[in-house]
Amino acid sequence: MLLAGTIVLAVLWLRVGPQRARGPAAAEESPSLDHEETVTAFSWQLPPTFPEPTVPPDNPMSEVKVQLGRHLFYDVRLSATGDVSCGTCHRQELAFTDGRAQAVGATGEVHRRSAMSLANVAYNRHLTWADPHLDRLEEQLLTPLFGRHPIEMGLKRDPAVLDVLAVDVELNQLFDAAFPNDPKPISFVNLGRALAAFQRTLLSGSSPFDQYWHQGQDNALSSAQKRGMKLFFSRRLSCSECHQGFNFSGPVNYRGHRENPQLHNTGLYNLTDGAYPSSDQGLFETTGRAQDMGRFRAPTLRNIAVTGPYMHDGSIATLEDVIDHYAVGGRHIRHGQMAGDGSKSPWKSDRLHGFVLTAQEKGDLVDFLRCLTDQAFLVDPQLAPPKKSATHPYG
Amino acid sequence: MQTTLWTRASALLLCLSLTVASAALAAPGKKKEAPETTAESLYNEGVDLLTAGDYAKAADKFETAVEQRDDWAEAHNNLAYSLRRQGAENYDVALEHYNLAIELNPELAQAYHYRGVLHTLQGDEAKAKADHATLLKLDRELADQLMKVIASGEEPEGMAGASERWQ
Repeated sequence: MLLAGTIVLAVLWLRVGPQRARGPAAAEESPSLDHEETVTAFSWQLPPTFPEPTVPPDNPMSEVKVQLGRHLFYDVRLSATGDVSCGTCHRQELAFTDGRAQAVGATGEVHRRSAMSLANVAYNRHLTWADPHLDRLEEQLLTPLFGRHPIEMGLKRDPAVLDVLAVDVELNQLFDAAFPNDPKPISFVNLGRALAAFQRTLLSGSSPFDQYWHQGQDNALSSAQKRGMKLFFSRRLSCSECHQGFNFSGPVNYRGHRENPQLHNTGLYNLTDGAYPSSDQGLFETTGRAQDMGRFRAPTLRNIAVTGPYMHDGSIATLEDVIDHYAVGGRHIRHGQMAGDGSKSPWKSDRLHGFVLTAQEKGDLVDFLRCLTDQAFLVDPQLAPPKKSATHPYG
Repeated sequence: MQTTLWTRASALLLCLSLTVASAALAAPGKKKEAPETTAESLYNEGVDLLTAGDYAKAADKFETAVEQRDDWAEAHNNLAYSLRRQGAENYDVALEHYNLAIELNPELAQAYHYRGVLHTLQGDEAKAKADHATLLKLDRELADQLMKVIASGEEPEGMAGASERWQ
């Protein structure tokens, strides 16, 4: 087993080069390293100025674990139908979203929410759209893998699933190398750990905005984008009150730092007394408190131009429409079952005060949001599906 | 009887007069015994005045505090802030005190934050961004606030870049 792991590590070193292989090389030399030592042995490829992500002590990062997670992320054998992988709903070219308003599971069941971007997911203080208590990727990913309501990947906790993976020579070697001290490395727990480790490497921080702000490239932004940036950070619009910091998002976590959860009602619905549709009422579903009706997390705006449709239910199609929504301070649906004026919801966030923009200002703001797209991230081969092999079908 | 009462009243009046006189004589002595105004107490008075928005009086307190203790980074930082808030004519002097505060304590995040604000108000975005870059290593929350200031050109609300009371 150790020999197999060594071979895999050597192959990885050749594939990814010496810098990225520093982590596993250290782990290979000292397989009995404790968690903290292993964490420090991993070489993060952090964008400049990004802090080091928080890593659970029971799932230290290692290069080989990340590679295993990458293989599993794109493995269609992890679905009930054998044709859906994590990467089906989290497509790299769309900043790990799916381009749909609402996600569709392996069996065709439509999810009530839009697939969230996984860009910089390692920093999210809390995961998914509206659960402030869910803060471990290892725990969160169990829902898309095994959840029944709705069925996403529809996997069963059946040892037969692991048996299928076990006969795959490459995966077998990767599991052995990633969990060298585990007598039974191929397990659902380790599968989740590897997937989480890979997701923590989905780091996006090389957009034109970053080149302009951090690298002094004045021409990385157009004049319109600079004007849009000024609007974005202005008190008049207050976009950066909710989409803040290096991740342009709600609360973040990183090593030595943990913010408090924050969720907001953005006035999308107001059926009666501020109610959201019963199909999805956000934080209210967890707490039962009236004031938590329709409160959701503010997602990252990094790569936002490629992650539409927008909002938790994908109910706004374009960035222009999103800006219109915030400008009027909520959505007024005039007809049908969802009729109601969200701007008058008693539970709407105080931060949604509305604003007036000229047509040029609106265009500038959209242009600024577009400069948050990290093209290198969308095509980074290290985050892409591994090459297909005869025994290992990737989706 | 009447004479006795009058005598008693006169005696009481005399006692009271002596008490008042002795109190008046004793007052200067007591003042001498009171502790002298320290740099720390001046600094704390300055912080209270800052909080109340009385920047001119706050500046006086901090100025006296740094005269007594010229190696106090926080006092220079707050002096700079109280000067800056009084108007653009004080920007250059304020900048000198921010520079001094950072020289005295290169890890004083608040001074980078408000020096970055001052650079922005002076139209020197490159220097403001340099302070932002340093803040990213010292205090990311202050760095985020400074980023908003630089990007929007608007002064920040609150007093996150002022140093706290001396304990």
